[in-house]
Amino acid sequence: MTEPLDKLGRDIEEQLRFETLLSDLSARFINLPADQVDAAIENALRRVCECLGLDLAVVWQWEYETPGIFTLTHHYRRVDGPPVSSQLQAAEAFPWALRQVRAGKSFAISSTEDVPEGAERDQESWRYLRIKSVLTFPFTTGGGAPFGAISFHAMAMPRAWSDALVKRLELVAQIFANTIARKRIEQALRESEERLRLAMDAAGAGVWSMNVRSKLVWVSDRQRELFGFAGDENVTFDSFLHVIHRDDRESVRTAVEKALQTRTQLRVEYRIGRSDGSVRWIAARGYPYGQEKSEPDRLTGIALDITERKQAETALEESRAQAATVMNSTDDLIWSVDPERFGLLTWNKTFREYFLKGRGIEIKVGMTPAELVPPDYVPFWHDIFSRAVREGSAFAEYLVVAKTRTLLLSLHNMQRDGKTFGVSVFGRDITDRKRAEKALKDNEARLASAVDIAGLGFYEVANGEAVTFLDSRAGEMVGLSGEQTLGTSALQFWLEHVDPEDLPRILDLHRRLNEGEFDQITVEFRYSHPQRGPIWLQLLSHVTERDAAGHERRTIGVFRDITTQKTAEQESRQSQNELAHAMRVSTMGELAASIAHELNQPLTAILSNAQAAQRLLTSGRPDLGEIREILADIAADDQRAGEVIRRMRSLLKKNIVDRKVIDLNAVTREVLELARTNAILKGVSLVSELPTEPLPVLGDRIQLQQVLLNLVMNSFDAMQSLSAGGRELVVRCQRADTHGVLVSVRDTGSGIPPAILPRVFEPFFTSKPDGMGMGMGLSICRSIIESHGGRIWAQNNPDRGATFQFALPIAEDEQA
Amino acid sequence: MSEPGHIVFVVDDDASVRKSLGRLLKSAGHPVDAFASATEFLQREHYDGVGCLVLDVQMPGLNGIELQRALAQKNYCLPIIFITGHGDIPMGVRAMKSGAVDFLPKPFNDDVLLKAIDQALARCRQERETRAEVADIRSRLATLTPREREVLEHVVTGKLNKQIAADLGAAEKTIKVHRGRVMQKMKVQSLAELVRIAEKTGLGKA
Repeated sequence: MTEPLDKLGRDIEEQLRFETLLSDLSARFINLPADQVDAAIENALRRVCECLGLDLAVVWQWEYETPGIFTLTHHYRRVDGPPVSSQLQAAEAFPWALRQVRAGKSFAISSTEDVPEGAERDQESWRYLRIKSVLTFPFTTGGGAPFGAISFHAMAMPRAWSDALVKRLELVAQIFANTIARKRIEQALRESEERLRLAMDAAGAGVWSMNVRSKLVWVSDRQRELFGFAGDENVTFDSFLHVIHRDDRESVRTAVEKALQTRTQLRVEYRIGRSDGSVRWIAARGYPYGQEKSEPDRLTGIALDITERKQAETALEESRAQAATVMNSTDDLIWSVDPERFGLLTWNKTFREYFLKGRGIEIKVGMTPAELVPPDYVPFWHDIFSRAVREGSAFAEYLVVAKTRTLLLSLHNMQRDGKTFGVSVFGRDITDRKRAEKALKDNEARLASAVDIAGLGFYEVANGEAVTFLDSRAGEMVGLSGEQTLGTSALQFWLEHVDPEDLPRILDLHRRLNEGEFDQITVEFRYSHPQRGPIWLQLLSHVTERDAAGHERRTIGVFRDITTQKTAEQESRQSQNELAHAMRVSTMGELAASIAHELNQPLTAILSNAQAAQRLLTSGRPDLGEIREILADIAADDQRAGEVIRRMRSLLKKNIVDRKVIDLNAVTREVLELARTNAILKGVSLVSELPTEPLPVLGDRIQLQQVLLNLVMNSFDAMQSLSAGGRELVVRCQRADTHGVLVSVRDTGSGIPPAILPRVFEPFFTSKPDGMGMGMGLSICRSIIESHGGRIWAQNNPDRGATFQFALPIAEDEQA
Repeated sequence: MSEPGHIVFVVDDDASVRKSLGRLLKSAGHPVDAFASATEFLQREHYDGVGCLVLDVQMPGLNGIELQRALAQKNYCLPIIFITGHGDIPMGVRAMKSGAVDFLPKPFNDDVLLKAIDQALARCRQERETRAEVADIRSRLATLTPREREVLEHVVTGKLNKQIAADLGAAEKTIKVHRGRVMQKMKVQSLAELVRIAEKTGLGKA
């Protein structure tokens, strides 16, 4: 009996001891500083084991990240045995137990000889450790994942784990779990604080926290240092603002208020003025903190000194602005592309406008050649960009899409640290230059070919005395070569070979040129070429410099050999004459033939009759009645022949020309059209003054054209020796006072000598050199005008030149 | 000088020329028949006797050259003397080539015209004689049998009787008999004579 009583007594005693131990532990572990926890646990393990007669107790912990690796943090043993490793791969040694604790389950094994299914590997481990019984509790707090476990063991002999015992030890395990968890949290917090501090220090960042209600601001040492606060100074929001640059204060205040109101991140950059007078740039970031649904009570954040960055930024911006200004103030195209896709990086205004021009393309960063130019042109750009990347630079002329402009391209690769990061392109529109170059080249070529074709020979004369330049063609024309071509002797040589008849005219013109009467003369003359014999030359002299007295200092000019032309003119004139003659002859012939035929009939009859009569008379017994008849017939035929001749005469007298009502304005216009080319060639300015009203006359269009053309051509010839500027011809048509039309042709030539003025319309009268005109032109003009019932006359102008005029009756009645 | 039985035809549209020419020709002893146009002349009955034609070139309607062509087609045997108011040489050449006797520009002297007329009449007579002879030969030819004609055609090409016999598939003796008949009918004495008259009719020219 005593035994059960004893046992009961022992149990109660043990229970009391354990209760005492537990309450002691519980009290001790609350608010236990972290650094005392480990020792306290070791002590507690010992006391629990002693109290309950346990042989071994171990505490394992693991990191959340590596739950399979158990670290032995505390243990207590009363019985010797193989040592427990301080770290073990639980999955290898205790796979079953690991599953249990990771699932948050505790387990009790009274005898390790009798283990649950699946725990065979664990059993081996326990046997090795000589463990007979195991009771294990996982450490969890607040339903979280287990982070450790505690195991109690019996080694000397197996032990049955009573429910009461398990409950008691579970309490112990819980106390330990809480304590260890708290310690782990505190440790983690300390570590992160430490890391933050390290980071802040490394970044030069200050940390601050403002109490929203009190406006008191806690600041870190670094923050104090940054803002220049004294070590013991109480910092408030106001003193904070005070340090901030005046211009930035308001924006900082606004930003802070906004962050608090909207509970959003505070991001603000501002300047502070330091006591040493320097200005620093600060970037601040912060977050409002506080209970949800109520206003935040704290605003905590950091402050960074970004002065260097700001300065760099400013410098960069300035240099960018400078570059942009330069880039945009040029008419050249500047842009850059990346070296891989050749996508646009930067570009200037000119580039944008160039490519935007009428194409509706919005230019964006990254656009590749394919997006900027038509497909045909893409290979070109790829090729040239690649070349620039490969060779460092590339140059090309680029004909733009419309083929209207030419760009001169210059490409360079852009490098940083020896690595190409882009290709810069400089494009200059050289269309106008090209065009100008081409125009210049064309002009030179044109001039050269014109000189060639025209066969012009150039010369230059100084002071009107000495030849200073004579090109080879001019030399050939005047018959000089080599040394002879220059000097006063050369000039003498020319003059000696000019035809004596033309020489006075040339000398006179040159005298007037020298005296400044005109600056330029053109003259045609005959020349006795030493080798070729008589030729025709045309000479154009132009004074380019004069001395103070107005005399020529430098004269340039050209020679042209016009022999062929003159010969042709002569031949043409001759053949015209011949043609006219032939026509006249043939007309006469036809007329004669026609008259002959008409006359032949009566003549034949007369002759036959007369001869018949003669035969009758010689026949011996003539029939006088018949002879009388014959004579009557002869008389009749004779009269008939007379009638033919009369008829012919009246036919000749009649209008052979084709007369119609024509507008003299139209006739004049046609003639001027015919003469225009000639006028240009001869350097005559041709002026016409025609009324808007029609000028109807009854006449032959061709004949009247002949008259007018003749007068115009005569006037051209009259002005031939004048300088080009002075040749002017005015053709005017108008209604005369009485019922007539007046046409006048007025030139600025040398006029008509008064002595010959009355004779100019006479046939075969001419003032032109022999062979130049046959003197029939004006005579024919008169015949034509008179046959039209008009009259023609000539007079000299009061100033210079002559005017030829003709008047014709107007044909108003017939006009309808 | 002139023989009776011929007529000189005058065609000219000019009445006084026509009349005066008629007078002149009559005074020279030629019978004259005058017409005012070519058409008028063509309407006259066909004249087969000796004569000639004095023809004006330029006439309204059918002109002289065209009349010449028309007469040739009608197988007239009338030599033509052209007279013209225009001395048109090419036309004269054309007229002469077509067989005109002369081409006289107006006015002309009577002896020139009369000489031309004599010439024309002589040519006309000559032509008529030739025609008559040919007609006579043709009438003689018409009397030959087809076999005799075949033999004649062979004879005039110069073949011997033996050859002709071979060609015609007959005996040489028979051919000899035919040949004698031909000579008799054609009224010739010798082979040469036979060949000559055969030529006039266009036979034996092969």
